[in-house]
Amino acid sequence: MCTRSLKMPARYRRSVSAGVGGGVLAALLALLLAAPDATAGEIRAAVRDRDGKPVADAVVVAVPAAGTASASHPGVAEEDQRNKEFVPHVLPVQAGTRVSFPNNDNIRHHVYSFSPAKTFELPLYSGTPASPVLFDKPGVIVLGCNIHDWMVGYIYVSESPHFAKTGADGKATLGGLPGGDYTLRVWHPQLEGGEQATARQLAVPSSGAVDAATTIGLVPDFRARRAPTPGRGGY
Amino acid sequence: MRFGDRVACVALGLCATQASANLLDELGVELVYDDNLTRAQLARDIKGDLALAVSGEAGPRFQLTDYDSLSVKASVTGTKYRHYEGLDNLNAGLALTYRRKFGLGPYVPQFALTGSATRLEYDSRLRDGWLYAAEAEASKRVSDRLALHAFVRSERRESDHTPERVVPFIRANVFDLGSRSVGIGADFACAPRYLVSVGYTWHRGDIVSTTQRNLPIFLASSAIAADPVFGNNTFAYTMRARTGVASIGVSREIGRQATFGIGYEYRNSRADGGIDYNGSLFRATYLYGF
Repeated sequence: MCTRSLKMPARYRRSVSAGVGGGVLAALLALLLAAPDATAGEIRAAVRDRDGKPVADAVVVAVPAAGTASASHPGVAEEDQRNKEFVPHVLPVQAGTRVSFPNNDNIRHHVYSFSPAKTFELPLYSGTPASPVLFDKPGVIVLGCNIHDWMVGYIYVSESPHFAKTGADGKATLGGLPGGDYTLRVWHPQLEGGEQATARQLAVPSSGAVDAATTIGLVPDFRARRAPTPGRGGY
Repeated sequence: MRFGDRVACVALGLCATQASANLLDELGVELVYDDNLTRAQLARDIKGDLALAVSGEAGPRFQLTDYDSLSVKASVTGTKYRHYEGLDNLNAGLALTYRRKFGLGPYVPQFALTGSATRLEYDSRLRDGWLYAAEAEASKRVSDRLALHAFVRSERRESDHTPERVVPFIRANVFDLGSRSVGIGADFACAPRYLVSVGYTWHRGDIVSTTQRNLPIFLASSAIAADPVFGNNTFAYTMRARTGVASIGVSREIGRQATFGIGYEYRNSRADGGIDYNGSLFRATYLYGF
C-alpha cells in the first residue's frame, strides 16, 4: 500500500524563474520551497465506497474557512492521450491552471468539452497543441474525443490550492496546510449525489496530521464501450 | 491531369489525413453451432454442426475532416467444421467504409457506407467464389445505456465453377446468389460491463437448400447441382425466399479492449410453394480490439 503525498498533483509543474547569475539564489529558493514546512498540518484522507472498498481517482479538496485567497500561482498541467485513453483519467488542478493536451498516440484526436465550467474544442490534431487551455472557473470538466467515443477524462478545477487525488488504496494526503478550520469535500466521476453532500468541517492542527475518512456512494459507469461488440447485424 | 496523377494526388491526400494504422485492429475466436446448415425442411435432410472460426482484421483509417473518415479493412476468417469438412473455408475480404458523424460527442447520429469484396475458398469447390456487398448503416447512441442502428444491405455472390447440370434446362451454378436485407438493432447496457444486443433482419433473395430429391423444392428452385458435402444423393437447390432473422446476445467486457459474448439467432425462410425452413444458431464469441 502506498500513500500518495501530494501538495499538488503529481503531474503538476511549477516553474521557478531565475535571472542571469541568479542560479545559486534560485537553487536556494527551490530548496526552501521543497523543504517540509515544520509548522504545516496535513490531512490524511481515506475514501471508501459503501462496500468498504477503497475508491481510486477521488479528488479530496480542503477549503480554508478563512477563505482561499492564496498567493500561489498555478502552473501548467498535462492531460495526455495514450493508447486512445485520457491519461490521467482524473486530473485535479487549481483554478487558473493551464492544461496542455499532448497527443502521444500515432493517430489524431479531437478533444472537446461541453461542460459549463469550460467549453472548448481542439479539432483534429497530433503532437502537442501550441497553446494550453486555461481552466479558470472551478467545476468539473468532462473531456471527450470525437474520433474515439469511449475516451472520457475529467478535469477537476478546484477553487482551493489544497487538494489531492486518491491512489488505488483510496488514500491521499493533503500537506502543507496552515492550521485552522477547513471544509473538506470529496468528488469522484461516479459520485452519487452532489459534491456538496460530502462536505464536512475539519480542524487542522498547525503541525501534525488529522485523519479524515469519507464514505461515498458510486453510480454505475455506462460510458461507451471500447471493445468490439459481437453479433452486430449480418445475415 | 492524367488519371495516374489524380490517383497519386488522392493517395497523397489520404496519407496526409491518416489517423490510424495498426498491424491488427481486431482478433476474434468464435464457436458456432448451426442446427440447420442445409437450410432444409424435412427432418431427414436437416444437418447441424459445430464450427470454430478465427478471424482478424486490419487496415488504415483516414480522418478526412473532424466529422468524416474513410477506412480500408482487410479481413481474414478461417472456419473449421466438426463433421462437414466440405464447409471448411478460408475467406479474405477487403472493405471500404465512409463514415460521417453529424456533430460532436457520442450522442450524435452517425452514418456509414461500406462496399466490400470477399474471396470465398471452401473445401468444396462448389462454394468457391466471390461475395460482393454494399451496406448503408445509420446509428445513434440515444443515452448512456442505449444505442440503436439500422441498415440496408445488398449482396451478390458469384461462384467460380459451374458444375455439371443435373437437370437439363435448369442452371447448375447454385451459388450465384443475390439478396437484399433491411435490419434494425439495439444495444442496451444492462450493467456497466454487460451489453444486451437484439436485432431483426428482413432478407429477401436467394437461399440454397441442400436436400435429397424433393419435388416441391425442385419446382420452386432456379438452380440445382449435386452437393456431396452433406452425403451422397444430396442436391443443392437455389430458390427465392423471404427470410427473417431475430437475434439476441449478451456480451461482457473483459478489461477495456476485449469482450466475451454468447448469442442466439433464429432464422425462418419462406419460399414459393409453401416451403418453410427454420434454423437456430448459437454462438460463443471472444473479440479483442487493438
